[in-house]
Amino acid sequence: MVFLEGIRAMTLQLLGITKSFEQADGKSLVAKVVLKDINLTIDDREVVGILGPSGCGKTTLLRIIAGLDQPTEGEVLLDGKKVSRPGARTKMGMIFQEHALLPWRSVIDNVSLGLEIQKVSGSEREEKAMRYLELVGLQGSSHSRPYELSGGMRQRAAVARALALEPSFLLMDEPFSALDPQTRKQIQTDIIRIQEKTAKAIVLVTHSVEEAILLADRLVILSANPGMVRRILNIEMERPRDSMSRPFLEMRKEVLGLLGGG
Amino acid sequence: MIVVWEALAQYVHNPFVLPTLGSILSVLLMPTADLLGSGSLLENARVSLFRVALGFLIAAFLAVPLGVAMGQWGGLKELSEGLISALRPVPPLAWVPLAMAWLKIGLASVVFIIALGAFFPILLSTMQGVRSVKRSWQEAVWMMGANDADLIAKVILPGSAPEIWTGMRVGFGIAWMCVVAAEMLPGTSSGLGYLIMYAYGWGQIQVVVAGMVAIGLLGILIDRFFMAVERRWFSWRASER
Ligand SMILES: Nc1ncnc2c1ncn2[C@@H]1O[C@H](COP(=O)(O)OP(=O)(O)OP(=O)(O)O)[C@@H](O)[C@H]1O
Ligand SMILES: [Mg+2]
Repeated sequence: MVFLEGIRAMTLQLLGITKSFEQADGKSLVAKVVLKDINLTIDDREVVGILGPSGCGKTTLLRIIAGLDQPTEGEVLLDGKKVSRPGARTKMGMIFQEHALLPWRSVIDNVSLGLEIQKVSGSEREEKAMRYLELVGLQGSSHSRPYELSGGMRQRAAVARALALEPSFLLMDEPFSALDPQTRKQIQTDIIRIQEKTAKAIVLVTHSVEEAILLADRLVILSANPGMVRRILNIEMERPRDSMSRPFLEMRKEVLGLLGGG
Repeated sequence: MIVVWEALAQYVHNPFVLPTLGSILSVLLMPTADLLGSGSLLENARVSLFRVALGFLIAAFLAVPLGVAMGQWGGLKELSEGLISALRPVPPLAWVPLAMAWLKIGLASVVFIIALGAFFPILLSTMQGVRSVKRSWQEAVWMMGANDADLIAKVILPGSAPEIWTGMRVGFGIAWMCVVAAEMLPGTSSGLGYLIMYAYGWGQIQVVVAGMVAIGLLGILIDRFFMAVERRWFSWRASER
């Protein structure tokens, strides 16, 4: 199977991203700074894990990258061009925490939704959707409705749907946090396989330090109030990574230290 | 109830007050027979159904787009909600004099009353349906490069279809009541409402009751149709609650 067609190197740059929300404080509105001066470059085919305490602005940051929210200051550049529309014309695909599949459509119709919007012809749509369903191991459930699937299968369907438009970047906001540990492990392994096969860059927001170290090439650790980049760590370990190995455990300790220490 | 009816009818023994079941049935069982020169039961039912369908379709064609616009775009919402809360409490039949003044007596004013009756339930449930469409569904298609037309066609309309359909069911029920009432007004000369008023004028109570039964049965039948479609197409809605 060929998954690399039409994909070329791209970089995603975050330049001085600052975001504040208006917040009611007694009678007046005050601006609450959620993210402050985030600078980050995400390269082609790179897996970046974003970690940080709850409420530090991870979701906000991912939505800004996606173009679903606008930063108060700074900009997001894709190949040097400002991201002005959600998804930057399908160069980014999003996997939401709650799958966000359309419940009235079958699994395969969900996967081909983006292709439909992009006016891809019917036969090509079906062929492509089926190819990505196979990639995530859902070919047997293509005509099921989302509510007939397990949580893990739904997230797989969401992954297939995001992949179907062949974006260069996959954005994931705690995509596996609602799954049980076994399913989660399985799907993590699959993500590694899929990433190698399709050569996507992935931005993964997660609460799980293990998950981040297992999947990422680079970890961005945010601090809270306001959300700022506290540290960026490169992970050089070979894949597949063993979560019991010494370097893994050392890394984990270091990251937990960075997250815990205020 | 049927037994009590028949017993009472036999006892009263006055077809102008309480006709026997046999006489009612004989009207119902010959739906194509001409009744008192005002057309057959079937013919009048057809006329009523046509009027309801016309009024209902007009209401739906106006209420669904308006409801989508009002549900989706905040600015429109406040403007129109004022208007709705002013107009909605007025029963459709209270519009009859105005309708006759504006549209004269005839099809147009009957259809106007029907459309008015069906309009608000469809409008309100469309708005409600549109607001129940999940933000994440919309964002998912924006990420796929959707424009506003895609958003409406692929997410907003299918996502609110169950509520719209429920509104149509309720609206059709009201429209059905409105047509019967509107046909009783002076100036109409066909339809089930007209038929029962006319038959009453001639003291043909068995025709009146047969007409009522036909009105009730048709109402139930149509409601069943709406419910069947709901179960068949919108079963996904239950999974979202
Ligand atoms: N639309 C909004 N309006 C006002 N405040 C908001 C909005 N969205 C997010 N916030 C605030 O911004 C802060 C960061 O929220 P965000 O959801 O990005 O955090 P997070 O790091 O994803 O948290 P979690 O790990 O719990 O998912 C929170 O304090 C939240 O209350
Ligand atoms: Mg979050």
